[in-house]
Amino acid sequence: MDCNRVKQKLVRYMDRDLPPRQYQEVSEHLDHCYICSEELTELVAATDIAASLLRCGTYRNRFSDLAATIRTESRLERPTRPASLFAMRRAVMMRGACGGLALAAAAVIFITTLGLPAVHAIHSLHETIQHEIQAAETPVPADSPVGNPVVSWSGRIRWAESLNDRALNPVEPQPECIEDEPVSGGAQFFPTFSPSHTNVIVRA
Amino acid sequence: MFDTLSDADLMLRVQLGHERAFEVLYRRHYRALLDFFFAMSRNRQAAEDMCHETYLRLWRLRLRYQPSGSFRAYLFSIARHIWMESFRTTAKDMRLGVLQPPDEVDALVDNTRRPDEAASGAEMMDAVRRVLDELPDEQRMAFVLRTIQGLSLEEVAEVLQCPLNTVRSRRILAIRRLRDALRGMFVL
Repeated sequence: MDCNRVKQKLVRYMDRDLPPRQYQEVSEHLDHCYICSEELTELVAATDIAASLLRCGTYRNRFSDLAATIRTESRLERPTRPASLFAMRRAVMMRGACGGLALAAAAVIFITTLGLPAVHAIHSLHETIQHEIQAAETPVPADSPVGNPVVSWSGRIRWAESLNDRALNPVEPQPECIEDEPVSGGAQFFPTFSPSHTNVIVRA
Repeated sequence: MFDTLSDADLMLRVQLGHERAFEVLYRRHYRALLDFFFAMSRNRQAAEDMCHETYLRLWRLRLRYQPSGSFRAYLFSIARHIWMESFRTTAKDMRLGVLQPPDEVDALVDNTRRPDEAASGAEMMDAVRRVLDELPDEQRMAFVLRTIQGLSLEEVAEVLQCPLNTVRSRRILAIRRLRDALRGMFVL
């Protein structure tokens, strides 16, 4: 090991902070190198002198003052809980607060995305039902052409009943040609009826 | 009975409120703490006050102590924070003209020594003080904690909250500067 490498390791050698193999190599080098030995001596002396000059000399014991301060504080302070228990309770409270906030946020999101449209749909359906009821109350004009889409519910019901009566009590065909009922839109007027019913046409 | 207990065991009893255990801890580490603050501040009164504050804070924070590492490193970590707080306050007061630099010569001269010894001691102290004043705070702490307090390098790294190699390099720089300052002032 050359002198430059040894000089870099002298402080760690002084602290016995080197790996055993390096410590041995430095020791062997110092045994026969006066310059590096001189360097080490200066480092040790400077450290010892600084340490001796920086140490405080005599000192007085002030524990009695400290104890008096502690007793005064103990009388004034409230009973303390162990740090771990306090931390646990604080953590539980924080979790509860976070959970409440999360529930509130979820409720707001549910109301804005699903609730309001649902309310609107229900309102629209209600209006539709009211409109239909009003339409059912309105009598069909006598001169309204066949196929008039403004056929009242009562008219539709009478027509359906007539169909039923005719099926049960077939009558002789009349010489007049009875106008075809507009059945193409039957599915439109009777959405709940089966297609076979809507295609019934009474012909002469 | 408490004198034979380890620092960690004593601290666990302090957490339960045992004043006697706290007194044993105080007597066991007070000198090292005082030397640390004296080496950093070169003022005996300030060093005693900061020691008092360190133990007071140790008592107030006793419930936070975890017996996982070295108690000495824990104690000197508190001391380091006390020093940093005091240094900031003192530097600010000196900057504002509220506080005057302490009379360090009176605090350091030992009246039991001969005059020529006292003079050479004062010269060396001046030289050492100049070098330490010029050192960055962390280099100075690394030197003081390892050399004067005898903490291991791992404990010093724990106190300064830096890697081990950083502690080594800081200590090497501090010692070499001290050596260069004292070179020629004494005959080896």
